[in-house]
Amino acid sequence: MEAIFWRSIRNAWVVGSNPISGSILATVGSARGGVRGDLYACPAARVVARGGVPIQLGGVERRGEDGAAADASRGATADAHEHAHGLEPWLRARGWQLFPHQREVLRIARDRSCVVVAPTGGGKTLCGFLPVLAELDHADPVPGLQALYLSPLKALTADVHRNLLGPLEEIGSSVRCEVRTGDTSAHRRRAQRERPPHLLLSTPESLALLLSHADASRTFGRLRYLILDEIHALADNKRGDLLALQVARLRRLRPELRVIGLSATVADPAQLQQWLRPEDPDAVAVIDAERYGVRFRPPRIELYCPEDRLPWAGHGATHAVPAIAARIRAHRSTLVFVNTRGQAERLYQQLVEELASAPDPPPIGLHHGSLEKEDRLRAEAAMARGEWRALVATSSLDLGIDWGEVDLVIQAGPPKGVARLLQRLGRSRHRLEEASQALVIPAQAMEAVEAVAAIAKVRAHQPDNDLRREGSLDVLVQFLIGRLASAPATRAELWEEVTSAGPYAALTREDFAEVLAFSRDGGYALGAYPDFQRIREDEEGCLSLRDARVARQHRMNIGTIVGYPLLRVQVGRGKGIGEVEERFVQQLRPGQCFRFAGRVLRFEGIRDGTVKTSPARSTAAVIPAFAGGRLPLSASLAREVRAILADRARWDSLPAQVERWLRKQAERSAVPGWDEWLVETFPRAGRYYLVIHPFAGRAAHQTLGLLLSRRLESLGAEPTAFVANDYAVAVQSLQDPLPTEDPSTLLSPDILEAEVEEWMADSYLLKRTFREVALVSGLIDRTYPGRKKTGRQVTFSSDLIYEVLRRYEPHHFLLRTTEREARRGLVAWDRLAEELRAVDNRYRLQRLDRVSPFAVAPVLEVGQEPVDGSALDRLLDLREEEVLAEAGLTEGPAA
Amino acid sequence: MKIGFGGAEWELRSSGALWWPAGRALVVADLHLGKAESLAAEGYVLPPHASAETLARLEREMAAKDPRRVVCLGDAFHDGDGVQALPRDQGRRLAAMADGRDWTWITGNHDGRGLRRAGRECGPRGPRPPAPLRGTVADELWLGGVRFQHQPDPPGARDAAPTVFGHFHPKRRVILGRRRLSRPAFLWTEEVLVLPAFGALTGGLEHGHPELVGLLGPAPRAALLWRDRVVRV
Repeated sequence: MEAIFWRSIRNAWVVGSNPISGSILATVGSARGGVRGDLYACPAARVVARGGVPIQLGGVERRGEDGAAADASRGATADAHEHAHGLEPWLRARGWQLFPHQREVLRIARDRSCVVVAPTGGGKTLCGFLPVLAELDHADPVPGLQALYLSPLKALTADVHRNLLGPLEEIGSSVRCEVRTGDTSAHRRRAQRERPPHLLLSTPESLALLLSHADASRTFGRLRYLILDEIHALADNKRGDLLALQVARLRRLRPELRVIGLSATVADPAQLQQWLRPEDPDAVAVIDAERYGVRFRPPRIELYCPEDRLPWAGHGATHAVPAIAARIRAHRSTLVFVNTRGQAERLYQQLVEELASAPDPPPIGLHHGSLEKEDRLRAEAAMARGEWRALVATSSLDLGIDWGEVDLVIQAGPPKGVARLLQRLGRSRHRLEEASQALVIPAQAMEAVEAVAAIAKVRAHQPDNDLRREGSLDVLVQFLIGRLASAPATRAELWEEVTSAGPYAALTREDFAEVLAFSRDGGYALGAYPDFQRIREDEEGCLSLRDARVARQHRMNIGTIVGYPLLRVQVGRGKGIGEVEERFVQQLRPGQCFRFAGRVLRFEGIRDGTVKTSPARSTAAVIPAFAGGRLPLSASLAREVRAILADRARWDSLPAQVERWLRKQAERSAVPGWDEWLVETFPRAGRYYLVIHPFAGRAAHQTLGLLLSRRLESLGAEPTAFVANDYAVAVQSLQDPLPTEDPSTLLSPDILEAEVEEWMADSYLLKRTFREVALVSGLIDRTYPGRKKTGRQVTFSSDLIYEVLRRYEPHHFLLRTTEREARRGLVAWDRLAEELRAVDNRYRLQRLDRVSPFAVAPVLEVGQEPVDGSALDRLLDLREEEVLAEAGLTEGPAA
Repeated sequence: MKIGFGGAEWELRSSGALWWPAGRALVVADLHLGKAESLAAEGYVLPPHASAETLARLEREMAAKDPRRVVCLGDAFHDGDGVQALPRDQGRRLAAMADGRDWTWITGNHDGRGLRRAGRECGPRGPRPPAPLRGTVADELWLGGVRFQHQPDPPGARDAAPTVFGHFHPKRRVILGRRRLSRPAFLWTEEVLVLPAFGALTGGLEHGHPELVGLLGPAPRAALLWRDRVVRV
């Protein structure tokens, strides 16, 4: 059964088809017609005609006729009557009843916190609001903030707001419901602090700001409910760290606070309990919607494989462009997901050209995070109205709003993770009578295996997200300063508060002391700045901020998302169409063309901090490199890929040509068993290649590639280059890399210790991570895109600070935090170490006389991608010396 | 790297210093000593080692060249009060370097007022900096037919003499394949030479900034600092 939150046995209007916030509100007889943003409100007849929303209607009607369901709901009515609540008369008047899991939320949330887990697209947001809506006296609500709703996306907040206003109006409620995000005017924000609404919808960053004010205890003094939406998308990253700390802070301010977490299906709901309440996870109830009849319906997923030959290498979905175009024509509404913004730009262009080659091309659009917000909203609205037939999108559409009308989801490129694929497929699951359709298009043979593995896991409904996490210390610094800005506290109080946040439950006393020391005065060995400590301690051991300046500086820098400087792109004299990274623009020469927002633009120059462009027609346009576009291959999906490879019985589940490709690999080299690494060496074009296939993800492979290169260098093999992808790493050298038969000499676990210090120090990955740590911990100020620096802001090259610190205090808190972050982030040290341990010297060495089928992709990959520079950064790091030498720029190490 | 400027020969040093062999004079611009300390008052906790690092660089230059004359081309101190608030050990290091050398503190926009105020005490050759600093304070200086000044006078007031400036912390960008490097650089024309900042924690102004273009034109000669050498680009 599809998730339907409200149902009517009468004819209904369906308001809202947003499964996260809406789909939910069926109101009778309201005259709210037309489309408001992404919200539908249409008469039933029209809904049926539109084809998207009748899912709900169909469900409603069928359920009404279904005897068993009717019985169940009679029981439900009686049960609901037991807990009479403010919504009851309203529900009764409309002949509506709540669903079992909604009743459960109402029951549980009266005195406990809970986590509601429902499949993606199952719709849960309104669940979170039920208890507070039921408890409030709508005629005469108690003054003060009663419920706070937080979502990771501003757009979601606005959407939920719209969907709440409807029923509140219906009830004739006097409850005030407002939004507060970075877009809210200063005037309104002040008013909200002075006289809070009853319901406030916001984001974690806006909450951090609210909590940093001295009146926080007053603002939240009457708070009953904290509703956290999409926590599965936050719990495994720094934003989640900050949010967990804020939840702990709110619980301290309001011990009776009930937290309602809303999450998509996760591998292990206990991780969410732990995240919310580490000291007593069982105090948080888990309400799994699937146990209450909301079933996950696997979509019909098809794996696309071209008839002629699936490429062995490459990333683009170019081979499938005609097929994608044909599907778009055959469906009403299609979402095409790709993994990077660069791929989105390219595929969009290819599709436009392909569609234009036949008469009457259907209009399609482009959607990614660098585009102007208004343009993204316009694209979403055009899809919602059915004017556009397809949207090429990145993870910018993973969360959030959808339209109910999408009848096909295409994943172009490898899915990289089961949870992500589920999330994306969920964008279309809104039909009861016909299963939604999905198409996964691998770009190359190994990606086809990955796709098969992911589809198998989706069918089995086994998400792979791992939400266990040790909180970042730079985030903790930020929280502590904000915490002390709102009210003084002793060390003991802070410790208790901090460790009651899931990610910091295992914080050590030493780390906590260091975080405090850094927050106070930088924690330098010299005990520098005695006169300028940011935190003061009185005789009773109570800590407080030195002055308002420190608090102001903190508020200016709240947040954990650290981007690179961006510049707005303007066409002619028009308004902006989006933002690109400054470093991309700096490589452009005036007159050069680039592709952005689905258009070809001629670069004219940078004026007033804006990239000036004019429309152009060149076909030789470059695509901007966007940072952070690469999605990591999840560990559990990688295991599944290896399991398929190792089990010949499962090769039948693969497309025939992929199976042939595997047989060829088995014949010419070997297919690795599930617990071993395949190591291949072969000569090619005057060079030697060493290709190792650990399936450990690109980042870990790049690190392994760097370490191998260093080791091969010292063994005299003269490595010249290497390349890594998600499945393998290939090192090119002038001499035979493995003159002995035993790869374990090359791969012995001590490879992780040898020479590491030196390498770590010099790596730009460390510098990049340091920058993030420096910004999040408030060492230096953020600069905001498009906004001029204010006179107060202090900008520094974080690289210079890094170098000075390394020289004078190599063990400083910031450097150790940087290393810790890099190990689990860009450097993927932890994953590599884990994989090395797991393989435990089981290497399968194949000495070949030529490249094997598996090795084709990595060997050819260098320079395969036209731009997407971020992924090549590390390679460039290694090559920099070479290039500089050509330009006559190298000489010896840094002085 | 050696260049001709204003009729004399000069060496551009990889430290960012300018060396005049004929007069055995070393010129360094924008040390910004005490910058981190001064920002600490604002609530920032930057590493306090920048000044020490800057002094260490300066000491290395003393050892390498043993100059007879040293010119600090303005903004040696991040703020005026920094002149007197210099930690004692750093003051001693500066004094030790100045010992036996002819040392000139050119006033800059950051430290001008502080230096002038502190330097009211006049020696035989003009104002003197406060102890433990040694040398003299001046708004400009002439060496080898070249004028040394921290920053240009307002437009129109400038005479035609070749002048060496600091103040701008110039940087220069080079693009190597897909790689972009932005490093501190010397920029010069027939008339004007701008020195990179010598201080360890000093940001920079990319060439292309209107102020620099106004002073040097769109395409000045440039030499950037790369590791331990100076590269003409």
